[in-house]
Amino acid sequence: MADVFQSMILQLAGFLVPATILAILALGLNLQWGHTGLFNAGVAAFVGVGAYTFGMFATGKYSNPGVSWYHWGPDRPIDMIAAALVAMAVAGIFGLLVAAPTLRLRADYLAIATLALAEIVRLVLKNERRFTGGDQSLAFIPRPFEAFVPGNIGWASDGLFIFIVAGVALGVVVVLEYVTRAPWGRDLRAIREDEEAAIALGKDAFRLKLTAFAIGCAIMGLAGALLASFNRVLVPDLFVPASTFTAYVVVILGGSGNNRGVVLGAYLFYVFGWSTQQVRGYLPPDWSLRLDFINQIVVGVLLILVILFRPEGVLPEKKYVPRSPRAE
Amino acid sequence: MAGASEGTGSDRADVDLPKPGVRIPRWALAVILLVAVVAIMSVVFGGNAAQAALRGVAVGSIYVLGASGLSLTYGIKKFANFAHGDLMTVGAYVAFTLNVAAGQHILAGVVFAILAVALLGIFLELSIFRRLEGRAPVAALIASVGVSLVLQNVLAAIFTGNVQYLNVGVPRDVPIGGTGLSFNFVKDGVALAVSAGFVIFLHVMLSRTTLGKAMRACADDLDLARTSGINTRNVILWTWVIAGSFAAVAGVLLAIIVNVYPLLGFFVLLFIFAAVIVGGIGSPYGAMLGGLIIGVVQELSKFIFVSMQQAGLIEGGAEYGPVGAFLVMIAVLLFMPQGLMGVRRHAMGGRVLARRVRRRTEGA
Amino acid sequence: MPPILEVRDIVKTFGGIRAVDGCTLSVAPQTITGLIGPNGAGKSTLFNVIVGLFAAEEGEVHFDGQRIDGLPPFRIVRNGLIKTFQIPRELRNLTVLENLMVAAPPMAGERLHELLLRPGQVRREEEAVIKRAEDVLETVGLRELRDEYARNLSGGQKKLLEIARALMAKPRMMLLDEPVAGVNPTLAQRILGVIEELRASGLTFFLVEHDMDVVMKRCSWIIVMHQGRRLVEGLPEAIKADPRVIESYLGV
Repeated sequence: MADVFQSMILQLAGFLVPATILAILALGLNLQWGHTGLFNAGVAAFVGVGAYTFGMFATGKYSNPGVSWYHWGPDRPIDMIAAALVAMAVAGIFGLLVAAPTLRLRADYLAIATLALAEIVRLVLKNERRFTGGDQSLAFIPRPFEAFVPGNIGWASDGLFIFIVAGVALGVVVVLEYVTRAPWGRDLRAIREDEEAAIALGKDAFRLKLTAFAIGCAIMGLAGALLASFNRVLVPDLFVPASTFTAYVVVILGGSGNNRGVVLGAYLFYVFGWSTQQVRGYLPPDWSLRLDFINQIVVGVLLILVILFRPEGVLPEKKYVPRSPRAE
Repeated sequence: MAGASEGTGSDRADVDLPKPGVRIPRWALAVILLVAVVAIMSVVFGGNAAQAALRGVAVGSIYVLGASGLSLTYGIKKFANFAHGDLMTVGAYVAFTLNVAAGQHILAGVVFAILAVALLGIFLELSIFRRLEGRAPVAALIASVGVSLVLQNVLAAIFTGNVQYLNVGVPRDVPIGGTGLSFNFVKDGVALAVSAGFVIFLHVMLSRTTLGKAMRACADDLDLARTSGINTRNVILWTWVIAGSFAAVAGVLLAIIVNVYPLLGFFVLLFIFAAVIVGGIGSPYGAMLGGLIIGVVQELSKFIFVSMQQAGLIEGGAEYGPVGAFLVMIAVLLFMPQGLMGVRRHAMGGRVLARRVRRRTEGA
Repeated sequence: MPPILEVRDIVKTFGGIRAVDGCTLSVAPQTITGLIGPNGAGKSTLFNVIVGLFAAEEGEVHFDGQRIDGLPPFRIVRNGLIKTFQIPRELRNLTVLENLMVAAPPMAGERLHELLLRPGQVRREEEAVIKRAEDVLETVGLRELRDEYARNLSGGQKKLLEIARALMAKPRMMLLDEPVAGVNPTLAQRILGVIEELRASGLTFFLVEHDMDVVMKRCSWIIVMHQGRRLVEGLPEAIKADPRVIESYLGV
């Protein structure tokens, strides 16, 4: 009986945790793309930077005892919350550096430039083994509250992680909702609609875009840190451009501009993936392989259909209808 | 209202043009610069640098094919087609089907590849991209990402994700007597020759034929072209046919030189974008030049990085080949967004400008 | 009284064409001053230069005693000078109310640290701005459309929105680029009436208009531009009869 429960938790975590991490990531992208109209095609890079920063700081230089190679990091590991904050800061600063020269580019140029930058980051992550462990991975990344969980691996740790990641996601959603429904968010949407008009109305568009971009990157860095902690191991190929497209699918399908829609999109995406997995058992072997491809084909078709017929996504942006302060 | 207003200042970035006067064109300067760099590197590093440059030209010739096709659709439909690389992959797989599965000669494969991708281009235009014409260009970009996903995975589902090879014998590199350099006449030479042939074809078509002129007019100003009586819908379809054909041939060449797998075209997509951007959006000639430049830059930077690797400065070497090309592209985007041969549009728009020029000279 | 706006020797070039070719003019405060001239005279370009959307190659712009050329547009707006667009640029997927609120002078809620540290202040300012926006909407007659998406407005309503929005910025001077072009006569009269009321309460208007009736009737002073410079200026009657003005219009 206990075994069934434990394996259920494991299964649930294997689905809920990555889905929630994707949701957090997508929320960061939603701020950049959904609210401000900035086409950041380098999402994978910022998540990767956050993940590796967290990994380095949370494990410290000598995390792989008995192995001849090591990666960069402080001599001693630091507290995980601090490491996550460092990861967010590094991702955010990296975002600032990328954005400062490129934000004035029009959308498709920005997409290509950020895509190229993401590839450069991935190549560096992959090849500079003395910094990152390269393909041999950066390992032994800890999880929060490990001391309280009997046995480092297993259903209890995964189950606990569900709560951690859900808590973080909730926090991010609450803060983002507040900030984007406020005048700041309205300014971002004005820039998205017509940047020159927004400037002509008195908005410092460059500064606003820069801030939104950096914060979005910091959120992506946070998602990366959580990913690193859950995975315990990092390899550079986790951060290929394809994952950026996944994030866009989630944002656009869920409802760009709508934070709740985006979260919904992330879970829907994983539900879809999970249901594909369930079907797999019933299929003959060579069809089972094809299933992954068919999965992606459906995603691609959905993306096209959504762009054509319902670009606002499943949950469109909510209309701002405040109470009238005048006596009516 | 057309043309009556003074223009309300869109796209501030390209408002100020350089002073008029006699200057060496940008693209000539770039070529001279590149040749100088290669020469210097050959002197400093020896024959290997020159060999790298030669390889770059060969690699670049494939980029030329891909980039000129992309530049045609980019210029007329005004969006970055992220599925262009996958069009190349489709071409490669069609050729593979004919060449390996059906045992035909590779040339038959090329013919069918061209047909298939051209038809695919028409299908995509009619079903998707035509409907997105009124929307922001990003919409078409995102749709093309969806198309890319579909194409890659359909191919993978049909042919499996494994690497395959075409049934074409590729001989070894042949040394070019006396210079110490080697060149693979079949592999690289064919690629160069085919690219050159297509480039010439494109040039002749754009400058001499009615269709070519119509294409240029549509790329310049679609509304004006339409009101001038050009059947823009047909011109657009023909553009997809030509762009698709170029992509198909590029895909087959890639398949010959490298191999066949679902991400074949997608991996070169960024290089092709780099070529188009360096050469200048809106200029097929720029794309051709850009392709060669990117190819050479890629191989040269690979060479530089390998040297740095050997010197112990960095760990990666040849893997960093793309980095040089990407950095050049990003630099161009930031400092010279119109590229080497791109059309520069300023806030007032060419039409109003032309009218004013006429007024000034006529009677005022 | 010293002029509220002064343009001195402004030159703006587009690829070899001098759209504004050494233009000097000034606008007196609390007036409705008209700017007319044939197509291509450089009027819209000059407007864009004044508000900082274009950078001039030469010359200076002074607003209310302060030099503003070279300043970024948003700073010029915050100093009290705003321009409307000839073809309305409504923020399509925002409501009419939101369009106006975007134009309001800087609020606490636009700064992140204030959002987090002083939420009460943020809320108070927001309510004050909503109220003022509704008042402005009332003035231009768009009150019922407060919660309508701007993209759903008719052409004339968008024109009204353009003006209402500019008013939200609490400007001291407004540059209006063809405020009643393409608008039906009743609506045009309403717009012009609003402009006149605002002028009486202290605003200065500098407007480009091709409708000569409107210009002659409503402007107290007219400046004529031709080929990028000021040709002549004066009272409407004088301008109407000036042979140079007639020639400049015919010669094009």
